[in-house]
Amino acid sequence: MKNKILFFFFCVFSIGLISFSIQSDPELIEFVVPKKWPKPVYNFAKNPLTEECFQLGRKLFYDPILSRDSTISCASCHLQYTGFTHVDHAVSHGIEGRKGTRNSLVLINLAWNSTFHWDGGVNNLDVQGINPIQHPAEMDNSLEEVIRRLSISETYPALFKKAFGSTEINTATIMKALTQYTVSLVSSNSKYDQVQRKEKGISFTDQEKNGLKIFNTHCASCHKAPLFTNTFFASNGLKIDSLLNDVGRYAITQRVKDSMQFKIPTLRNIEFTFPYMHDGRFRKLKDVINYYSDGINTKDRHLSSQLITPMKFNEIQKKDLLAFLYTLTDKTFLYNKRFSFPK
Amino acid sequence: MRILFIIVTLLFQFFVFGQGNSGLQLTPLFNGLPLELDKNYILEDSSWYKFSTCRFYVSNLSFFKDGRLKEKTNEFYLFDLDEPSSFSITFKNEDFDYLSFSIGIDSTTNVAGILDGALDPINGMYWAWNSGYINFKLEGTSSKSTEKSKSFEFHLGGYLAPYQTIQTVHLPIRNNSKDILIGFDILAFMKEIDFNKSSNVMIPGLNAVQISSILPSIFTVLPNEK
Repeated sequence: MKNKILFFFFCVFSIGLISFSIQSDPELIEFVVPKKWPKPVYNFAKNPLTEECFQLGRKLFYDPILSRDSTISCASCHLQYTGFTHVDHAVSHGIEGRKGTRNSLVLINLAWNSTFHWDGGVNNLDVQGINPIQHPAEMDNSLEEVIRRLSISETYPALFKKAFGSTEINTATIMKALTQYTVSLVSSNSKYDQVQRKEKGISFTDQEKNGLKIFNTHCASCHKAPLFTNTFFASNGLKIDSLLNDVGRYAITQRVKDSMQFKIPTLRNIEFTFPYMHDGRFRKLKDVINYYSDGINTKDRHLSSQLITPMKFNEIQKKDLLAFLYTLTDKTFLYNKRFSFPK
Repeated sequence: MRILFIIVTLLFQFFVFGQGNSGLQLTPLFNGLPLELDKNYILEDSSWYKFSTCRFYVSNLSFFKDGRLKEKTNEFYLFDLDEPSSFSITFKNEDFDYLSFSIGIDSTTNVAGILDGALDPINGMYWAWNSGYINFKLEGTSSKSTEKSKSFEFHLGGYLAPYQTIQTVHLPIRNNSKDILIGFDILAFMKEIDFNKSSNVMIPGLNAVQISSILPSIFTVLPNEK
C-alpha cells in the first residue's frame, strides 16, 4: 500500500515535471544599460531577449552551416578576442578565399546604433545578418538553403522550439536569434569606464590624462563618449583607392553631399582591432594618429569641416593620445565566456 | 454522416461568403490582352517584348465614399505573375465609390526590421545591402533594351528622401457587390521608359523615382461580366 502511494506521488511529480519542462516559457533576460549611458536605439520590445534565443543566436554565430560550403561562420571575420573584427586583414575574407572591399567592422555596442556597415546601408540590426549570408564575397549562400539546412539538422529545430515555441524555422526567427547575440555584445568596462565610475584604486596616469585632453579637443566631437562614436558619417579625407573605388555612403543615398562619407567607428577596444579605416589601409594605430596629425589633404573637397585645421601633434602628444586610446580596451569584454564559442 | 458534412460545409460557406465579402483581382495585360510570362510579343512596328518576372507589392488598400475613408487594410500583398493565385484580397461589401492603393512599401515598414509573410526577404523583393523593399520588379528581354543581351531589369524601390518610390493608384469605382477586376498594362509601362537612359535600374535613386512614377497610369478598372 505504501509503495502504491509512493508510486502515485512519483507519477504525479513526473508528469508535473514533464509538463513544466514542455510548457516552460523562454527565460527573459534584461538588457543592462550601463549607468549614465544613453537609451539604446534597438527596439527590444519587438525581440525580447531570452536566454534560449540568445544561446541559439550564439550557436548560429559560430556555426559555418550558414556559409555555402560550410567553411566560414560569422566569427571567422568577427573574432571576440579582437573586438569582434578580423584582425590583420585589410578587407573581409569570404568562402574560397574571396575578398570583400571593406574592413570588417567591430561588433561592439550595436544596440546604440541605428545604421550598420561602413556606408550605413543597413537600417536595422535585425536585417544585418542577411548580408554576410547572401554576399558572394562572404558566405555566398541563400536564405532558402540556410533554412533548409537548419530545418533538417538534428539540433536546431529543438533549439528554435525552445526559443520561439515552434520548430518551424524562417528568416525572421534566424535573424532575431542572431540579433539577440550581437545586440548583447556590450563593452563598458574599460579602464576609461572604471575611471568614470570612480572605481577604487583606478586612475589615469599623467600620460593618459594628457591624451584625454588632446582627445577631447580634436577627436571627441565625432568619437563621442561613452560610445566613442556619434554613430554618424563623415569624410576624413582619405584618398579613394582606385582599385576599390569605394564612394561610401553616396552608394546608398545617391546624395552628392554623402560622397566619400563613411560610418564613424567606435574606438572601443581600438588597441586590438587593427588594421584601421574602411579599407584597412593603416596597419598600426600610430599610422592613424600620424594621418590625422599630418596626413590629411585639407583641400579635399569632401573633407569634414571639423578636420580642416591640421592637428599637428608633436611626438609626445601622439604618444599621450595613444596611451589614452589604450584605456578603451575592455578585457572583460574580449574574454567574456558568455560571448565565446559555445561548447 | 454525409448530411452532417453538407451542413457543416454550408455553414462554413455562409460564414465565409455570406457576410458580403468581395474580392479584388489584378489582371496583368499586354496591349489590352492578358499577359503571359515567357511569351514573345511582337508589335506592328516589329518591336518585341518577352517578360520573365513581374512582381510587386500592393498595400494601403483604402475604400472611399463621397471623399470619406470607409475602410482601410493594413495588409501587404505580393503580386507575382508566376503565381497569380497566391494573390487574393477580400474586403467587406461596404458602399463605396472610389478606391486607392499603394504600389510598394511605406518608409515605416522599410525600417521596421525583419518581417515575415509577404514581407519575408526570402521572397526576393528585398535589398539587404541597402535595407529596403523592392516595390516593383519587372525583368525580361526586349528589342528596346540597349544591352547586347537585349535584357532589361527594373527593380524599383527606395524610401529615403528625396528618392521615395512608393506610388499611389486612385481608381473611381462603384461597388456593385461583385469582385473588382483591376488591369495593369505592361506595354503602357514599357512605352514610357527611356531605354537610352538605362535598361537596368537596380538601386534607389532618380532613375527609380522617374520610372516608378509611370506606374499609377497603367492601372484601370476592368468590367466584371460575372
